Amino acid sequence: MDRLSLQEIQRAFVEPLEDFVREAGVRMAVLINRGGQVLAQSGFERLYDLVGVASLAAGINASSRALARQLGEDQFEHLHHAGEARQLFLGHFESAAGQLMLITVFDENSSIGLVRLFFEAFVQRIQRLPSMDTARRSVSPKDFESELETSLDRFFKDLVGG
Amino acid sequence: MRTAYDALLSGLMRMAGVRGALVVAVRDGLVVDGRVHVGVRSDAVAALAASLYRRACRATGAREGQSRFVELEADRGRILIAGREDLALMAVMERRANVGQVRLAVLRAADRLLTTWQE
Repeated sequence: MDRLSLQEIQRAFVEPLEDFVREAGVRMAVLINRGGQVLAQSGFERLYDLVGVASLAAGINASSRALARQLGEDQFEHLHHAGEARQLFLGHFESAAGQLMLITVFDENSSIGLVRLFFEAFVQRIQRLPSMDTARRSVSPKDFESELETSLDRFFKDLVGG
Repeated sequence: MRTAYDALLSGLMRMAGVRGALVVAVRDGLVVDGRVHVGVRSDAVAALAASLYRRACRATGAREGQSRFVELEADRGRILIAGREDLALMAVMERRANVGQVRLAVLRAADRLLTTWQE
């Protein structure tokens, strides 16, 4: 079976993520893998915001995983943090590119019900993509952070044509 | 699991042509309690109809505490939504259902939503 390069994988995720953002009415979304590589993003205008959300979400993910294990679960499927104006949803799923995490931020123009509904559709669409393998599968916090920075740099170079 | 809305939902489901009755948290678009026939995706109905309901309320400037009613009509049926505050009652109907009767029942049941919750 053909394997795709990281850049091909990133390209394959762009359209499904854009559709998810439009249909669910969310403000921003980012898709990352367990190695910290950013595979797609939508709605982030500043690198600073994307780095912040992705890093904090990775932290939330790590602590919620520890909590899940305390409760006899391997991992929580979804996490939802509701604020007064903004809400955060974090969902995991398995794909041909390994385990992926979608982090999305939404406000009163969407709802957790809508996000969950279109997240399901997004996952199904990603799972129909051909076989993939990401460049690295590192999961240590240090590797995660460095891979996150590298992929973010690449993303924003593409965005501003650098 | 039985909730306080049991009688309210069962009453709606007994009406001819009603394929689903749901109590929905409007802000979240999630089902609080519901009864649906096979083939009706309650999570999808709740999320999408709550989204339209919220927008309709915003567009018409419905005030807090005021009861509100929205009707969505499609080729194969209708969805009636009535609510107050952050709770709404939704009825999924086939075309053959008697709209007048179901509308009246939904409005009356919606009036009881908040009091049922507080009981």
